[in-house]
Amino acid sequence: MYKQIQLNGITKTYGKQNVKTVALNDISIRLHKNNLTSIVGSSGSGKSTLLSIVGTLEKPTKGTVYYDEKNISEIRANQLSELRNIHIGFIFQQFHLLPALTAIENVLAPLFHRKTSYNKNTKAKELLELVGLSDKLHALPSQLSGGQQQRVAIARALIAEPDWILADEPTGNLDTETSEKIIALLMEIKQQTACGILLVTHDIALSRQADRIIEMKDGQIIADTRINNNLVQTND
Amino acid sequence: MIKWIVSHWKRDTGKFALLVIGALLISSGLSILIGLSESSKGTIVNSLEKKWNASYDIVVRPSGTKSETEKDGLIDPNYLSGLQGGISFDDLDKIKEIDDVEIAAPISILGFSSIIEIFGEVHFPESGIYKITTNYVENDGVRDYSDGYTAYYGFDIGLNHEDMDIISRYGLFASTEENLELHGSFTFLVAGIDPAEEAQLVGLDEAVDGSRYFSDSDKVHSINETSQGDEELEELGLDFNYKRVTAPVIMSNFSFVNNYQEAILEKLDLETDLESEEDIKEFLTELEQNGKEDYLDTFETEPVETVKATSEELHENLLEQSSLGAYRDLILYEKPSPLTYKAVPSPFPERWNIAYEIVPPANQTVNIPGEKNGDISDYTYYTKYRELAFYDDPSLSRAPRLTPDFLDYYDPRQLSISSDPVTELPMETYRTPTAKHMLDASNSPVNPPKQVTATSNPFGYLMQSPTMLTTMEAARKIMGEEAISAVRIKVSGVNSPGPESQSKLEAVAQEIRSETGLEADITLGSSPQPVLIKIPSVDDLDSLGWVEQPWIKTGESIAIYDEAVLGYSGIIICLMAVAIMYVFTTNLIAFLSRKKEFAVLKAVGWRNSKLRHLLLTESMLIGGFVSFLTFIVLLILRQENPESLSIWRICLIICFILLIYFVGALYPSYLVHNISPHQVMKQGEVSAKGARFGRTNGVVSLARNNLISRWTRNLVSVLAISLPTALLILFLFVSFQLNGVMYTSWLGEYVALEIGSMHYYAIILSLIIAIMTTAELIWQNVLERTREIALFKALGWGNPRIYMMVLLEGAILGLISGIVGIFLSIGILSYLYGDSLSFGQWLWLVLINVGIPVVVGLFSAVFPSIRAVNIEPYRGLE
Ligand SMILES: Nc1ncnc2c1ncn2[C@@H]1O[C@H](COP(=O)(O)OP(=O)(O)OP(=O)(O)O)[C@@H](O)[C@H]1O
Ligand SMILES: [Mg+2]
Repeated sequence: MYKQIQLNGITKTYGKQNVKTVALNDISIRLHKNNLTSIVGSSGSGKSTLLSIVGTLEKPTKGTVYYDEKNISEIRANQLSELRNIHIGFIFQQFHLLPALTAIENVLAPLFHRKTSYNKNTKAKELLELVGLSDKLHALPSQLSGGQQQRVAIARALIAEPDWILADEPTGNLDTETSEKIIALLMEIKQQTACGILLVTHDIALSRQADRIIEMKDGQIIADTRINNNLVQTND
Repeated sequence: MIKWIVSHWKRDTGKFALLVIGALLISSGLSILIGLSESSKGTIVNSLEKKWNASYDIVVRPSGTKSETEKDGLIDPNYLSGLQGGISFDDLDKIKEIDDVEIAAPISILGFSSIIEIFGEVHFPESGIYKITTNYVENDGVRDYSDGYTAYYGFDIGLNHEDMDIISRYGLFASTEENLELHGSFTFLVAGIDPAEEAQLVGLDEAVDGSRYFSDSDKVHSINETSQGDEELEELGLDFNYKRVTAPVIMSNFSFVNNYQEAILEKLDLETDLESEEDIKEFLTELEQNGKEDYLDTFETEPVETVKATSEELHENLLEQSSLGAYRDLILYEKPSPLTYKAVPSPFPERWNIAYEIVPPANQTVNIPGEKNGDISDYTYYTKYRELAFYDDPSLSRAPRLTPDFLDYYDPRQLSISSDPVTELPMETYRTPTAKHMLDASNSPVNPPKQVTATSNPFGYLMQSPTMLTTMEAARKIMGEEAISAVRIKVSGVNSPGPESQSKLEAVAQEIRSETGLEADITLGSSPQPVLIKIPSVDDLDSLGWVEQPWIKTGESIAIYDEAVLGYSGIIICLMAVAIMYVFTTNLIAFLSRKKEFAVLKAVGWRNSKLRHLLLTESMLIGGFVSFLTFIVLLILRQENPESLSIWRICLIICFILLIYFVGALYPSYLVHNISPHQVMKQGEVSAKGARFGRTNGVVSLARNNLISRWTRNLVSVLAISLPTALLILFLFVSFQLNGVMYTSWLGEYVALEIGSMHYYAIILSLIIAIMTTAELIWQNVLERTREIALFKALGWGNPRIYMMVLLEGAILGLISGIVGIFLSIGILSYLYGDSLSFGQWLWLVLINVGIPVVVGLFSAVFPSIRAVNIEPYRGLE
């Protein structure tokens, strides 16, 4: 149970000397589990990169990531997988369901070969019910609409009862109405499971529903707004 | 996990079907190959046993004629060639009296006789000086032995042809006739036999052409002709003293030797046209002063005509003349003479554990004391592998004469001896012994081994079989009491080799030895043993290298020698290599096409080890399926032929299959590490890093760039196509150029690369697997370029162009494979075969080597191209 994720002087660059892209430029930030934090910014500003680093999918070029007091860079790859598996749930813009597996199998994929304190199958059914797909348990991704697929992906992100959900433009491929439903679902989940949510989005309206809005530009955070206590902090 | 994998397959049936087809191909290929290879061995054994079947059981030879080689228990099958009598008629009678001796057929090798035959004629077209070059060329299957001479003729230039001085004065013969008959000599072997025994032994009476065989009414008589005591003759300086035997003969109508006689007529290009008598006189004076023939040799010539007669024609001519009674005075001149062998280390002891070298006697020249007649002074042309042996010195004044009383022809091919016309059996009296030229002088294998035959040379390394047969009575008259060279014996009640016959034969042989003191060896059931014989350099001829002859291993029953066969292991290795490449490719493709999926799994927290496990299990499941199928097929094959296919061997194959599926999954599971889970955050496809060479401005360069940008995986399909192609070329070459067997040295061993239909099945199978491998790769390439292709379509590319692009990709792959294949096959060929390929053969290799792989490449691209054409343009805009 990690309550807080802290980034210290994170820099991420891609490519070699002559074609170097600085995706993230010396970012320091602290994320709290009881917040729904949204990240906004123009395309290429480094949102996805930030999410990857927070979610341990990537290692930063410089700087350190702390999960509470634990320094992530000191952890070996296998333990990182473990950490992701137990504590982080991902939702991607392109859903990334496994095409050969049914909805329920997709939901169960992260727990494959893992023992849990609860019944995996019941849990998966409950989650699919939660996302409103109790009638589509055995449908293949190709038989589902985009919104439905994303809901399966959400259920999958929740199956391991993570502390954090990291969502990269989960509504990017969906229409406004469905998008609103998905966000509502995420809010509901947050209520129910008390997990921290990090949401990358383009949609300003959606971001307004968050507790905290981080605005990025050119790999830097240009604004960090906490909505519920109306306090605006700016990081330069 | 298995459930997971199976559900995967269930939902992608197309891919699963492909997997099953590949698995079936590999398993059936391996099992059929392994099953077949065993059953094909039996046939060689049978045919050799059939051939090895002598018409007699025991051979009796004069005592003291055992050669060096018989210490090793080996009898030279050509033993008769060295036996000049030695057994008396008394001995023969003693042998005949022994119980159980059913047939005792004596043979007396009387020696060689030559006749001068007219083999053709040339025509002088106009007056002038002519040059005639006469060549006598013999071939033993390996090289030509030629002997020739040149003579000059003056035609119609006013010279008197009866004036013998002309030759010594001008170095030319005179001719007033337009036609000039050409003479050549023909040497053949004469032997004496007992007509009745020979009829029983080999059915000689049945083999005569008409009805006239030897009979009791045939008379043999002999007279002595001598100059001694005849004052008139002695005054003339003549000195002769010989026996003339008149005897019935039959003659073989078949010539086993291979030679021809040839004459080339050329006209000398003189400055003068020799029109007037002064011209002629002037020229003749010039000729006399400037060195006769040597002077004539300096002129340019113009060809007029060439006349040629083969040994068959010469033989036919001989028979015709003989039947007409043209030959009254055959001089028996050369006597049979033995070869001397010495044991030498075998160049390939694995293949021939015994090797001998012929030891030619040193410095043999023929002395012709006081000989004036130039006709026979050329005896030095013999290739003298044996000690020279004559009835008399070359003046012929004491050599016996045979006046043949011609009865009939006989056909040696109709004798009741082993019926195979190219029989390996060397012991028969009526077949010229043969051998196989296996290694050249530098010990490299000869491809294909050449059949070596006897020449008419009496002192060659193989002696021809008799052409003229007469009776023992005649032999006795010519050679005296000990005229018999050998006696061939058939024992009653003995038909096939076995322990009973062996003891009976042993008893009879022992009795012969004790009764007569002669050598008696059992030939029935003796084992043939291939012996390697070095034909050394003799006179100014280079060494021929090594020939192989099956010799008689006495006291050992039939034991067939094994020949290490390389071809079989070659195709197994090829098929296995192609199978490995296929398995590798399918695993790699399976991995590549699911790369994104794996990234997702990694993102949701799967460990690398779990993914590796997944890949390995998946591969092993297929491997298990293939091995199961193979196991079943092999068990069925084993039912039919239980002893050849050991369980142990089957297990080995199963293990191999499991191993390749295991190894095939290793690389992809290694690649799992390189997948970054971060990739799932990207919007686009997982795109390959493109390496670009040159500008992309058309379909061709597009296809080329596609190939280059994925060169590592394309390398696999290049190898998969080029390996079987290279072998195919090799096999075709061996089949068509070398009659199916290539003899070669391999890791210091002498082995045969034998190509049969099985090899072609294996190659076809390998090529099909190569097509599948390549098809999978191109399919994957197309898949990865779905967006690109969709975009091209959206930009207005027609279907033909898309087809073109993908098919071209296949064709280019094929072409590259072909080029690689050329280098491979040429490498293999020159390694195995040496550097004796002609330009035509190269061209031939190159053409096929480019054709087949291109077709294979095109085939592979067909399905992927259909798939590419079916991509909807909107996919590029998603
Ligand atoms: N694997 C990579 N190799 C090279 N450059 C990369 C890579 N991933 C990201 N970048 C670069 O890093 C920068 C930040 O990319 P990132 O994906 O984080 O942007 P983003 O804010 O998510 O944009 P979008 O809203 O379009 O998704 C971009 O300039 C991008 O080109
Ligand atoms: Mg992004």
